[in-house]
Amino acid sequence: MKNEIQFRCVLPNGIHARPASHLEKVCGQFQSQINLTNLRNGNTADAKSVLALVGTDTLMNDDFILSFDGEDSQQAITILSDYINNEFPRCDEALDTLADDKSVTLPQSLLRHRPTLLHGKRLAPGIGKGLLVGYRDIDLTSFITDIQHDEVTRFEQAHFQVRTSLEQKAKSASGHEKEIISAHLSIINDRTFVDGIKSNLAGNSTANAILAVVEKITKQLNQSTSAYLRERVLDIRDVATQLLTAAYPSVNVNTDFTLAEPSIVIANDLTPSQFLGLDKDLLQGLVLTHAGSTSHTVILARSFNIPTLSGIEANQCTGAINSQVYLDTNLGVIATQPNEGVCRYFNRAITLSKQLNDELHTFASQPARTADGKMIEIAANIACSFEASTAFEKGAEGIGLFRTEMLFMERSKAPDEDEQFGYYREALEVAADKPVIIRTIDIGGDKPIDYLNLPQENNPFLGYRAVRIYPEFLALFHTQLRAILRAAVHGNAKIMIPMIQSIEEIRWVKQQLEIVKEQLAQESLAFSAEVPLGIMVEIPSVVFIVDQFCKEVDFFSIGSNDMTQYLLAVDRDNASVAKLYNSLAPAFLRMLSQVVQTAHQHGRWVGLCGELGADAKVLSLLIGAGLDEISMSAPKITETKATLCKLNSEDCKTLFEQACQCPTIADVQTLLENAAANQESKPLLATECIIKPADFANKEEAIQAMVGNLGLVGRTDNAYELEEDVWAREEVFSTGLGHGFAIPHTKSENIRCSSISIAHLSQPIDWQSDSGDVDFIIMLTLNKAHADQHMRIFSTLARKLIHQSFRDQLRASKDDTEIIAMLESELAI
Amino acid sequence: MRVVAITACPTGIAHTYMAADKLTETAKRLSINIKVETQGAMGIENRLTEQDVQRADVVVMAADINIEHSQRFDNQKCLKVSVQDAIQHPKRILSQCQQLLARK
Repeated sequence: MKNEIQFRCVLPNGIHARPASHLEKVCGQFQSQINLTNLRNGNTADAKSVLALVGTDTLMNDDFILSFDGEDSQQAITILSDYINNEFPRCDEALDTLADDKSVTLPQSLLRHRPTLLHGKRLAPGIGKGLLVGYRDIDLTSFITDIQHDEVTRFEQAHFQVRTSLEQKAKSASGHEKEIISAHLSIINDRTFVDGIKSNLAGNSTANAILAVVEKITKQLNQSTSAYLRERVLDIRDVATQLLTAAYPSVNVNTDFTLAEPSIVIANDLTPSQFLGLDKDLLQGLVLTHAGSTSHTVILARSFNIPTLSGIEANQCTGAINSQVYLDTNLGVIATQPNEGVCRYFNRAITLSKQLNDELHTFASQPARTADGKMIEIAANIACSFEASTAFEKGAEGIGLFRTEMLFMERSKAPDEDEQFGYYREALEVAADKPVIIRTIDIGGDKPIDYLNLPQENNPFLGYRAVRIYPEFLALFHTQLRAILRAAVHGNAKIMIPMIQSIEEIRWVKQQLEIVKEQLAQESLAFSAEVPLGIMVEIPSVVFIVDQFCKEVDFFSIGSNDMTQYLLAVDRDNASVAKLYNSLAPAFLRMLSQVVQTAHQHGRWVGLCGELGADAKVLSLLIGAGLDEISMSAPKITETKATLCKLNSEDCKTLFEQACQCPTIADVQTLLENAAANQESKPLLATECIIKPADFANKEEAIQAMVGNLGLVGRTDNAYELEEDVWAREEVFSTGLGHGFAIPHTKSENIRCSSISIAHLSQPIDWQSDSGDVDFIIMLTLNKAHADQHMRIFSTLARKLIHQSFRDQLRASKDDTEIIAMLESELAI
Repeated sequence: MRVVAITACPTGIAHTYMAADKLTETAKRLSINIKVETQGAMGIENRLTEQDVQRADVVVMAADINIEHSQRFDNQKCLKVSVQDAIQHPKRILSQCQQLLARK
């Protein structure tokens, strides 16, 4: 029998570092030599080396062969077939990149100042201003040297030093930074990399040996058809630089590059370490000539909020080096040699973007509540303990679902009690006293784990998984409970059991908890005896006996994904029925209503964790249902809090009751759309649209600021397009009225709700019309679809404006409230 | 003198109505009989009747776009101006009407 198996790669980014390191781990368990051959390009590699695997340039839909040679090949084939078919496809996902497909309309308020612009590709969002500084690339060839003395020791020592330092950094780092350091650790530990260097040491100096391997791998990666793989070259160079500097501390390669003032750095290649070495308080922006959206440096730039562009060559901006420039990734440009008008434009844009960020940030730090003051806990779903800190930064008020499966997957045996204890404790400590709901392992069926040897099933979702496997793997379950109870001393932990369908099951779980507590007490280990116990409500049978569960548990969390699937009997991975999967089904809503009402009657708390929670359109229904908590992925939290504060809890309740009475999903959707349209309506006149006193230097800035303000207050999603519409009208003839007044206006589809914006300037400006300078601007932006609704008011306002007395009254108004009051009475609003 | 006027600007939000009021106000001060039809975002308002048109001595078209139903005025004395003019120089426009009428 041939010792090989053939597969097709289904990973969206191909076999890059992350999947390669997973595959390497699985292969590493076996003695056999395992090779991977890509059938598209014929590249073959040692499957126990991440770099070699990456070097095969295996892309999505490539066929590849794993071949085995050795004593345990049969066993390896069995395990790897299962792994590649079931787990491997899930070990990676498409990376999020900044959408660059949409071309941006450069605003007239900038273009009219005739800026000098260089266009690049947008990689990380933001606007920055600073000195353009060129980053000098480290020339690795300056390390080239002859054999000195004991080269093996030199290399071993440098290798040990870099590895130890990376390991230490990995401990203190978090989030993306940690992930990238781990990737570098896997390079420094990689067989191909290290053995390659070692074998070169025979006739070479350490430096030449390292450089030869770097060159070889770089060449291989550069030939890759995948941009993602080509971008890994930078990681190799990064690790090599660290090795070389450690081996030759006396070679001065000028690795320290310091910023002296707010700067925008332009570099051919900037390695992740070089990026981390830059002072983030001074770094205002990055221009990377070659970087792609998945480069580790770019991922870091995004997590540090550093605006980043690529695709601009250093020689395009030689003249601008050491001068002030602006970088705007909303527009995808750097502006060099900015004149006064261009500076005004960007300073205004920076102010607007800062205001917008501050606003979002306020929501993150504010408690989640509706407009009428009803508090709802907005929590985060996490799968790793290190995600907790990001979640709290985004404003999570707790962890509503801490999935613990990740800790158990992709390893050869289950984590022991101490490892789990440390893991849960980490999340609990980050949470301070905020609640952390730890869900015991939900494995089996669709989430297989090798060391449990669970049987393959035809219908894993209805099969042997979660709480159902605990009796067989009792020690595993006890260990997890012990670890959680011990960790609970360090925070506000709650335990949640998945896939409960009957009272018998929860009673059994409670018995186990008692057994474990007794053990811990006997062993005199510190633990918390009062950890609240809850269940996932995801099996419909629970819904009908919630009252009885109330006597057994402290809380409930509705798992909307599985509940929808079980309630409607729809497998959403099955394309032919997936369209039937919809949580807006009236049956689902009535289920929700029944669970919440019954639980509340018995004084119990109900949350919801699942994708439904993050859907802004559905939020009003969830509030209306009376849920106590909604848990979602961290990036959705700030936005959800912002949406929440616009909702009225009583209106939501009425809406939910109406939705429960709808016969069809389509009816529920129509109901939601109508409600959303009403919610979006904002008054035509509001203090948020009045700027007084306004400090505008010219007509361009006035229009930029007034339209920008509409974006800020959520009246337009397309400020640039709306601005274009306003300027289109100015092109016909200037809207200056004389007497210091101007009325820029447009009827546009880029304004959500018709608005009247007013700016009373402290200094008059040239309106580029023959009616003289302007110091009072009334901007009318009319929504095209709902034009009729407000046209009467707009026309009345226009008619009034020709009267001196009306204009005098406007000018005399002291502040925004007086202006509003005066207009409301004059226009009979 | 009896004048009828049409006002129409590109967006039909502001200038159409300002021009209409400006003409009406000025005519009133000069004791000129005027009726102004607006063709704006709210459609046609204060529509000129057939009788209005027939009895008019002069028709003022204060428009920056093609006005609707202009064939009504085929046999009339017409004065074409911009909306902007109507707002800024209504008096001059009305005296131009008088000159036009006097010319016979």
